[in-house]
Amino acid sequence: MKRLILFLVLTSISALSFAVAPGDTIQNFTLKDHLGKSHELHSYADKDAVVLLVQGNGCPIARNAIHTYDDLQEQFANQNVAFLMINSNLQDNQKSIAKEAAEFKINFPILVDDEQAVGVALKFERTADTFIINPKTWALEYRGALDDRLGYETQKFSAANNYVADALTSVLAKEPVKLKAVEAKGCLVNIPELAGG
Amino acid sequence: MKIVLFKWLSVITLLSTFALPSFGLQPGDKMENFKLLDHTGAMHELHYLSDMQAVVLLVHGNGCPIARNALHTYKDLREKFKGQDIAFLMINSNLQDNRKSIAKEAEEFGIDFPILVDDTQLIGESLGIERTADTFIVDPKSWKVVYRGALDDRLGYETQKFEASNNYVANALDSLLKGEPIKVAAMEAKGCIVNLPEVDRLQAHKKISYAKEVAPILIDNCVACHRDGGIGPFAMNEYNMIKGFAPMIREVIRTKRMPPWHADPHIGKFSNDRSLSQSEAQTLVHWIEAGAPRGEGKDPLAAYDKEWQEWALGEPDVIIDIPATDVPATGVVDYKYITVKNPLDQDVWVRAVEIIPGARKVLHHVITTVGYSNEKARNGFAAIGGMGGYVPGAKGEAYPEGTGMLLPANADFQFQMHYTTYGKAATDQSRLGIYFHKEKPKYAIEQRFMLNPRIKIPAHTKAHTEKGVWTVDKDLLLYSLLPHSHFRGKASDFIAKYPDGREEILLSVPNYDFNWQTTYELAEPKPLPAGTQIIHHTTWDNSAQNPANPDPSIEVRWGEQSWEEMLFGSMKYRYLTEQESPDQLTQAN
Repeated sequence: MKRLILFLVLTSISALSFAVAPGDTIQNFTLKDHLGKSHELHSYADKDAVVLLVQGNGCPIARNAIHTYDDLQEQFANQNVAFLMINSNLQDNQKSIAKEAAEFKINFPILVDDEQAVGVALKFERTADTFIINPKTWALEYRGALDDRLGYETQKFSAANNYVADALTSVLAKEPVKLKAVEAKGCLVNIPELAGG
Repeated sequence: MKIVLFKWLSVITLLSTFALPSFGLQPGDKMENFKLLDHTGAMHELHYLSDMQAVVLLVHGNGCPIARNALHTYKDLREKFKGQDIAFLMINSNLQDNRKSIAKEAEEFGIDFPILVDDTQLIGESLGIERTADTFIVDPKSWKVVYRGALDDRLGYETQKFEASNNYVANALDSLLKGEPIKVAAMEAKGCIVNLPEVDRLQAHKKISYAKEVAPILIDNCVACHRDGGIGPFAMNEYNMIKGFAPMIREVIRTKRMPPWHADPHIGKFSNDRSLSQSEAQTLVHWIEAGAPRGEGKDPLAAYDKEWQEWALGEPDVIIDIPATDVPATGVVDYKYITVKNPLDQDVWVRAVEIIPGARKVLHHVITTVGYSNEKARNGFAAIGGMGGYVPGAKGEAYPEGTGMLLPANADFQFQMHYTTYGKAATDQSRLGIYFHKEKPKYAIEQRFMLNPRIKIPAHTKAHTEKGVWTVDKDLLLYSLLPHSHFRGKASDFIAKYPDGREEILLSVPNYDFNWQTTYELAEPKPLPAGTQIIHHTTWDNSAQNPANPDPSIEVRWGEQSWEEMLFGSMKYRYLTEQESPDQLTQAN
């Protein structure tokens, strides 16, 4: 028993310092979106991929990422992929997220993680971070930036590398994803529980 | 049982290591991004060094014998790893040192490394700096510290050996470059204790009052843009917004992105300075690092209901409507030139102008030029002169007292409109408000551009500098300076070379950001005698390390569009009258 406790203490310590990385299993969760509709991760079991983008109101990079995300959905329209967004911001709520969605024409369900439970589980750091989940295994296939177009106070004409599109293509072709993680640029998500105090 | 107890003890030890922030950055920890000016006034950003194999940071301190002795070891290290893409930097977080004294120490001891001046001590605090001559090796692939500690085992307190038997930093760098694990990742550094008085004051920082200390700083420095309907992307309108954005506020302060003020604070004084003072930055960051507690008292941001006047300078005498422009949701938009006829049927002297942006979130800048439409001229317009413009955060532009600009009755306005997209399509319909002098002002305001259309910026170059020069033709009084370049602009300065050979830096912008076309208004107008050379330098970064660079692989020449480049400094002034002399005015100041 004591050994078990010890083990748990140690794993929780090490878990604190490591991000959720490709290969990790994503635990099931259920959240309501900004329009009040409920979404359970495991209800997407019939999809070939689930893509989750971290959204945040008032973040210039997250706003600029919407159109890249629109384009992605368009590119994979004939494939069996679910595109979702999730908001774990302390300062946002269903009402303000619905307002942002209306103002910025966000046509994706934005899951409202008002308890930050998913944010804690997936260790969100920044908005505009993307998770590609394989519903066959619920393993994380890719985590990171959508592409290399957006930066802090900068944006390029076009992306040279479309990380998510490339990773998604590999997942759908049942091939290994070459680039599994790329640092995402976005606004820091304040999750006090992850900050350790 | 004994074994279990022992294990518990080690768990407790482990836990306490994690719990105590004063232990500082250890191997395996991530070094967060920061920007600091060095002792020469050049800007350095940690994350800019992402193309390096390693970043080495040595803790410097003036007058410390061990730090002074470490210099030669550090030079040897740089020599040993020459050609290996390793950045060698120093950082000085000493309470008692400043730019001037550090520059003196560098000069005296031949320190030719950039010494980053951590004047707020905020970076030293987050690194957990304890002693000088301590070294951090950071792996730019992960930004993790891979080694922290002594350079080698040669130096001790009041002792030094002929040579080191263990070259910790050299060994760690060797391993890192070979992709091998680093055997010794930490070694106690001997050096002078760096006094960081705020490090142990976490409990006190938890008592920083949001209502009495934090919110007033935000109201004074941020809310003009970060309000409902303002140009800031989110409104600072209640505590929850600040708490949520707290880590982001900390990051933009550490990386000098906000407030947007890009001049070197050690050179000149400017009346429109938007930067935070050292103590304001410290208060905000310490409060955020203490968890951004709400504390007691009414929320000043929620209660703040300042009436934001539409026209900052009051109702204008005439309003010019600029025809509407549609701006797409995303992508990069070319400059647009819009010409409008002056509706006034008589000449007027203008005392102030203001542009009210139609779509604040997309309008990057407007430059208003007065002149005459002419197909043969550049952009189809023969200019007489500039008449202000708009940049984000601007609150109207009143010409200095006693000055004005003549607007001829039959002239045209040409508006150069630059838009940046923000995720949502918009239609911009901006308006120019013009304020008249009742009678002819004493002085005419003049504007001069220092440009260099022959610039040639080589491909894949991190820093390429060129200059434009103008020699003052008649004694003048300088009011303001505006550097202007595009996506590749990195730094700019204006230097006055007086007829007697003396040189004075009037403005240095080491952190140029194309997003903010700031005019730097001199707090004290500067008299410049005829014959003074105004030398305007701009440095561009045409490397892939510049995240705004559209294409590092091409040589860049002069051009109006933002993917081309410009060296286009502007200054506003008036000529002195025959009764005035520069010397007189200098003494009067």
